[in-house]
Amino acid sequence: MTTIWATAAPAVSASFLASLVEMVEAFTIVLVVGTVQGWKPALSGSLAALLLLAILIAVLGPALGHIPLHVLQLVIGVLLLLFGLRWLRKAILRAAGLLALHDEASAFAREDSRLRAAAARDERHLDWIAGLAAFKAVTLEGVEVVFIVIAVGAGRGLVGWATLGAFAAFLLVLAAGLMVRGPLTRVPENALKFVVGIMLSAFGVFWTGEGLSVQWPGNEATIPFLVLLFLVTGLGSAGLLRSKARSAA
Amino acid sequence: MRTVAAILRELFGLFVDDGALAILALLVVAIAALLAVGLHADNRITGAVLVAGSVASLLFSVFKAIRKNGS
Repeated sequence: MTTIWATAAPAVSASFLASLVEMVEAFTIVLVVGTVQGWKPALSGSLAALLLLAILIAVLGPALGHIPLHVLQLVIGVLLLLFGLRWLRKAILRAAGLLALHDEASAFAREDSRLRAAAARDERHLDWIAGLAAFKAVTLEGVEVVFIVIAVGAGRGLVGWATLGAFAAFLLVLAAGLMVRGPLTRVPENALKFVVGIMLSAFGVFWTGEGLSVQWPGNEATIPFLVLLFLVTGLGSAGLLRSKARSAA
Repeated sequence: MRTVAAILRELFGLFVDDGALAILALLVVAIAALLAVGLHADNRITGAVLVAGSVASLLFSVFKAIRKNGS
């Protein structure tokens, strides 16, 4: 059991943390739709998106089994590397103060005024516009969750474990949302994005290497080393940038 | 249709934000693939190129953003 958990822990934690960030963002939009236009369009848009995601999983899941493992690892590794480096770059720039920090309260206010402006322009189709906003948010964030679950799990047959991480994040966001009944502003999204960017970049390098038949020293034991390397790079460059900005001011 | 286009645009944006970072990362993977498959290099070298290249791509992209910001 300890061995299984040691193998699955990086996939479960990466999937949990990344899904948590995505679900908090989707929750904010669904909450705006529910607050401004009522829960019918919010829930029907969300359910339609979940149905689309279920179809995507039903189609993609069995198809993945037919792809040779090295090809799968390489494709997933490259996509994960692009995805992770993008997240980490943004997180570094945010930590250094060069990009605005992500803030769920302002995301809520932005979407709220967008929806109210749409209401002022075209009242007849408001339910449709509101439902579409919920659909788009849940689809986009959901696709990211599906990609992350597949990406961190498929290379070693850990999709079930990664799904468990994503499901735990879903339950946590749902429970927190029901309790707070407002945007989840206290979730430390920027710090989480930094951690997730590091983890996904590390997984990306690892799986790309596996796809190219690199024999990593200690196999999966390389992942924590890669995490540490990206952590030092991320914190170091953010710190350097902050001090440069301070001395320039 | 506009929603589908917006979703597709955002899906592309999941992987590519800074074009230079994406190109550099893909270049690193291409060099590593050339080493591994074309030149049958020692896979420790391939691994090292992959790790160092990814970190270098990230740093290049981050410092490019700063130059752009004029800090």
